[in-house]
Amino acid sequence: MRTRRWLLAATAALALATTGCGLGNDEPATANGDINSGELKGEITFATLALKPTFDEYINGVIAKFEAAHPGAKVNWVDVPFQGAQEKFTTDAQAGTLADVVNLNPNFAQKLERQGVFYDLAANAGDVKPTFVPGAWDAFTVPGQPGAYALPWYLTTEVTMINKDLYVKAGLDPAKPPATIDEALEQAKKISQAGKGAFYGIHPALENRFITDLARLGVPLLNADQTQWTFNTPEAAAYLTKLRDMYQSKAIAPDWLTQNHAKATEAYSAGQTAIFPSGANFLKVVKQNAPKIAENTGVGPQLAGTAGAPNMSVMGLLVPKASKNPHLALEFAKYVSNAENQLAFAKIVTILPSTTASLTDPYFTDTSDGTPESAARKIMAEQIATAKNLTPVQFDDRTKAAVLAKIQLAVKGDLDPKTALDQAVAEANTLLAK
Amino acid sequence: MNRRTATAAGLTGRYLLLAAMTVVSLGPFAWQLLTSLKGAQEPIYGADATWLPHHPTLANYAAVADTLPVWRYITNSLIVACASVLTNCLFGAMAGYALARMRFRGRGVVFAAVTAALIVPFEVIMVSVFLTVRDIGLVDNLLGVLLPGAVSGLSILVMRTGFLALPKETEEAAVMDGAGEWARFRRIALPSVRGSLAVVAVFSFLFAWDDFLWPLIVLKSPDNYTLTIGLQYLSGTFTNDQRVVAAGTMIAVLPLIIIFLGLQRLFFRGVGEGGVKG
Repeated sequence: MRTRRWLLAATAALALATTGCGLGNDEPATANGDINSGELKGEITFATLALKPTFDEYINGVIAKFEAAHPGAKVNWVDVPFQGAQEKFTTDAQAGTLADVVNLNPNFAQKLERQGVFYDLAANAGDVKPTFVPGAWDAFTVPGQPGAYALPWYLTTEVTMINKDLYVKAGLDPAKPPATIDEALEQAKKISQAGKGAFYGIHPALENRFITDLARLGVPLLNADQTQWTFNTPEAAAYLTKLRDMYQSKAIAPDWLTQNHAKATEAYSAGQTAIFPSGANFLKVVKQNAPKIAENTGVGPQLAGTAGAPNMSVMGLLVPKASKNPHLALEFAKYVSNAENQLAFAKIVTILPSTTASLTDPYFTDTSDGTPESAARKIMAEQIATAKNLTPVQFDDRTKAAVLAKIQLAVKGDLDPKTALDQAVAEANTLLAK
Repeated sequence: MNRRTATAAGLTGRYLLLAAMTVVSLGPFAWQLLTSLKGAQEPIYGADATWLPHHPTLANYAAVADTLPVWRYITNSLIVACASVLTNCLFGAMAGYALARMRFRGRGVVFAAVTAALIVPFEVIMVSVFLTVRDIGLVDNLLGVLLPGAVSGLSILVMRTGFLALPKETEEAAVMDGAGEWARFRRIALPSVRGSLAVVAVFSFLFAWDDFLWPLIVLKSPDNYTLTIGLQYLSGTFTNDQRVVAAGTMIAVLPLIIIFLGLQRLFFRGVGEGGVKG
């Protein structure tokens, strides 16, 4: 799959190079990228990412209210499944057939933003910028390029879920989830000892967490002007050494070395791991597949490092320049992402609104029902104010693959941690220079 | 005596190996099937999970039907897959016959091009194929899904091999009787390669039915989705009930099993058709 992605990226790049801008000739955008004002009428398409059919009622409701407020406007909703989404968006961007309002995460959006596929919303929607959590707005900027390309939509931040049963079995206090990365690793060692191979302390999910863990530990990932990777510091080496020692003393299951967050979710649902740092929305997934484990789950804040902000995941709404009706599209994006609509969305599912005003609602402070969900909600709302998207947009799939290959060798013990980090940085820099 | 024990041991070994293969290839399928029958309260991961459902239920299948318009998506998939079977058998046979029997300028080049087309991964040409489909105006149309796979290089090659294996003498006799090329193709050659046609039919049905990425790119409105895309609705950002996903998988696999069982005898004849026959 990964090789296929590369091939696709290479083709896309080639297509771009040969066609000049790759958007075709039928784009109605003005040359300077400004959205002209006009009548709020006509038909637009709204593409979301993997929200159907769970949120049919909510999305259709928002659309109906918007259409009622703007007679003559019609919004068609399509939903794109997560699998294959990147290929679909890339192809659509080249063909100029993207929807008028597109829901993307920074990882999907970044390459297209750099190619100038979307309107600059810092210039076109500057009026709503102050209503959003700053960290979320910044997630859709391109390094070395002015402007921001999305209105932030819903957010999630990691919390730390623990299996209270396993904590008791290991002689630890289930009321005290680990607060820092170091604490988590220490507790994980004890739990793995008690588990003797039947269960373990923590699933590393290196692909998803290694680079954000470094950021949380205060390791500078990039230099100030973002031209060089710099995460081969002594702190990073110390952290990698800890992971290696745990792996070699069998405190981490052997096959977890190459697994990602999806497998970590399965391991937690199977009761094989006690500590599960993850977006709180996965509480629901655990509940569906392993109701007993979900009942026994305790929730703590995101694991902190020595420095650095907590991490968050962001979704955004973008308006492609290929849109035939960008004025209406932008108005709709503003409407979907306004405080009122986002608060209503957050009440159906464990997410956070990206609008600061919604976060002060009692819904995010009241934990009197005692469920893991309400605890998670409160913790998330508290940490979102300072949270950032810790994964640099430059950490794309290719860079991730190159870095992870070295890190895995180090954890396995085949490469000295310092050397592994040096080599990872060197490879990542080669990719960055391209 | 000695020989018989050796045979018995060999036989036992052989059957053990076959049994192991069966477990390896059917095990995951059986697990999916049983998972799809498990009730909502049953654990499906870890030590507590059992093979047999404790509270067997068809509720997960009902959940699939509730979540998405299954029949509509099955119909869409069937349209594309059946059309693909027709075009691949028809045009694959015509092209295969031409390459096997007719002499014309550039035959070698055409054959090389067909073979070369097999090697190019679809992802590489996807963007340009999509631009073509867009310019023809077939975006969000099942015809757009069908076209790029309407005649695959594989179908042409399989049919060519099938025709090459036929004895030339029969056709030469037909020429004596005054049969033209068209008649020879339809009356003599085509009925003799039923096995190869079955192979082409099964493979083109399978490819069209299983294809995910291309239909996802071409189709825009959910009403036109094929089953493989529609099933993605079962695992969204905030839900991932493995029992329902398993039920969806079973629904998707069923037609493939039916098609294969129906064409099984012809299929295995076709696999052997490349060999020399009398």
